[in-house]
Amino acid sequence: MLDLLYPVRMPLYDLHDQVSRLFEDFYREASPWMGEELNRFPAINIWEDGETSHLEVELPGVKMDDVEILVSGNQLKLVVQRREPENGKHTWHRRERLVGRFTRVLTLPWELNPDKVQARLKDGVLTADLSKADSAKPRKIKLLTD
Amino acid sequence: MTTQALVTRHPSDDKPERLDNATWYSPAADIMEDRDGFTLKLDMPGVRPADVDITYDDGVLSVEGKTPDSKRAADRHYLVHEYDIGPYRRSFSIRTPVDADGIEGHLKDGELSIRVPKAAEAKARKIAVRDN
Repeated sequence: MLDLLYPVRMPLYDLHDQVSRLFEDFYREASPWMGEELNRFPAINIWEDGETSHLEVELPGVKMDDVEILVSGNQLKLVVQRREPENGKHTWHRRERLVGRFTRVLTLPWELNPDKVQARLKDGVLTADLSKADSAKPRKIKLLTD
Repeated sequence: MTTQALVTRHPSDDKPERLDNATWYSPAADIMEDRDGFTLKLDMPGVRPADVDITYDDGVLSVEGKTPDSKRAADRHYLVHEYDIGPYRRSFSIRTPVDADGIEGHLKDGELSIRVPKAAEAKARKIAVRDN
């Protein structure tokens, strides 16, 4: 009886191994991608509108004092602190919202004018107008005739 | 009380969900339970307090939030495009009996907090042990 069962059980063990390997491969492949997603907090949009570009960042639950914007040349650095919810005696059922200190550095295709960056935080969305530096604005070139 | 007292209906996923020919986003949520009830915190950036609907019906707590400028955002010329703007929707199934009239929502800085008090019969009680 055992002899008869043995060949039947073998492929099942193989299948178990294969399924385990499949999951291991999936997590190994997914982990760098998951890491990249984490680095993308907070999520940023920048769009262009003539000589001004606009920055929009989703910052739900973040206070004005916990946001820092630094502009240098064509780089924009955003430092954000999202605080823990109030401490109390409770059980967590689900925890999806990231907390902590996050830094994002973006390089734009042109230099920015740091004096003209104005930012607002409303309903958990940070918006800022990013003006191009004078050196990055288009200039009319005079044509010389011989 | 088990950790299964509150169950999410929709999977938490950054990808938008298509329903009724519209795109909905599932807001990230924190769910906490204490002796007297549940506290939910949801990320709903860009939503104004007047644009949030919270309903509780037969054990299901549903949240919807509208964002004002989702259509305008689609036509922009993006240099960096990491998120899309659209309405939020998510439901939670609550197996614990709750005090439906006592449910309160509060939206501030794009963060929605919902307090769901437990029904009196569901609250943890200390049982007195008598000495015969």
